[in-house]
Amino acid sequence: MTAQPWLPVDALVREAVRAPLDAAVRRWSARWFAGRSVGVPRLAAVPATERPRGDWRVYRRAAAIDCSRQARTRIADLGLDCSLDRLTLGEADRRLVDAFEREVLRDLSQTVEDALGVLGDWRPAPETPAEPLGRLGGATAGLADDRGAPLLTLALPQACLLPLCRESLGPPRPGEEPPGSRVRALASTPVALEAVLGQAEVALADLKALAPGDVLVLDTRLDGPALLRVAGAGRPVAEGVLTQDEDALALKLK
Amino acid sequence: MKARHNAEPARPDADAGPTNLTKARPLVPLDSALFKDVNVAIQAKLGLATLSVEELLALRAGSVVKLDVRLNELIELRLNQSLVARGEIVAVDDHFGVRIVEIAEVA
Repeated sequence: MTAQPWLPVDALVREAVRAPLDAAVRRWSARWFAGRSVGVPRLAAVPATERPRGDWRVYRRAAAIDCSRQARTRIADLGLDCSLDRLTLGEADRRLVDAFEREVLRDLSQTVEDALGVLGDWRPAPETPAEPLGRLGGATAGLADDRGAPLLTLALPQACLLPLCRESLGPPRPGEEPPGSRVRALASTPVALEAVLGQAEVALADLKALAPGDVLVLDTRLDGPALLRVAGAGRPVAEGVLTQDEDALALKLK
Repeated sequence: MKARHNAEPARPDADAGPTNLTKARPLVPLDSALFKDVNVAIQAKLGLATLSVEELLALRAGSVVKLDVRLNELIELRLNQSLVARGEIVAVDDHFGVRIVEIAEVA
């Protein structure tokens, strides 16, 4: 069992997260795509119950990239400034383009994760995750150029977005009063105690024959103690001799 | 189960399943010699007292804890937490005892 920080997914989708992400993606696009600036116009919250559609790969730690055929072609087109669909590539060229795409995407996840301040476990890259957002949900970031043409989508798990999100929320407000004593808080909790005078061992055969008027002799002596215990639990909390209190039976504790 | 079905094919409730088990004649009756040496503990329960944690922690030797039973009330005899009889407290030589006043039919 590991405890993870948590916020409602729609709280993760805020300008304080989008803006640095957008800036990072623009730096990345400036490195790879001459003259075409790509940014993150908006984030969309994805609840834990939904799995965003995509051909997801994790290149580094946490951010998953939708590496559909379409997205990869767009990357190569932008990076190489041509239209690959119209070209017939040989095996060697195809491999070169694949390596290029892979490097661009690896750099994207590094840029994004550095900008988000992500600390996570390394994964062998690229890995195909079954749940790109993990079990807590998160957000998707659609990358698009300045004319609004989509490039690809990032899936950012909750843990990825939390550091920036927390930072923008500021530190928690200190409580107005310090926590008080647990024992004092418990003081008014009612506890049901049952008093047991004693017990008698009865053979099963005798049990069947028991009738009004019969006397069961208990294992407690007249000067011996009855037990007081928490109702339903086994261990006695106190013992005492029988006495009376305003016409009611009572125990005087020893 | 199966053996009994075969032995009593005419019983109308023979196919009714386990819920009717108690209606069928038990294989081992309560007064069987099997049980001659089996003992059970019957507990004599005086009553309840409900205290707050504060009161509980304040208990000392000599404290009196009032129970929810009057002096002349019957006390409960419990078998495995189930109420099976009520009776009055008696003294038997130097031990406490309970004289049974109210007891359920054997069933």
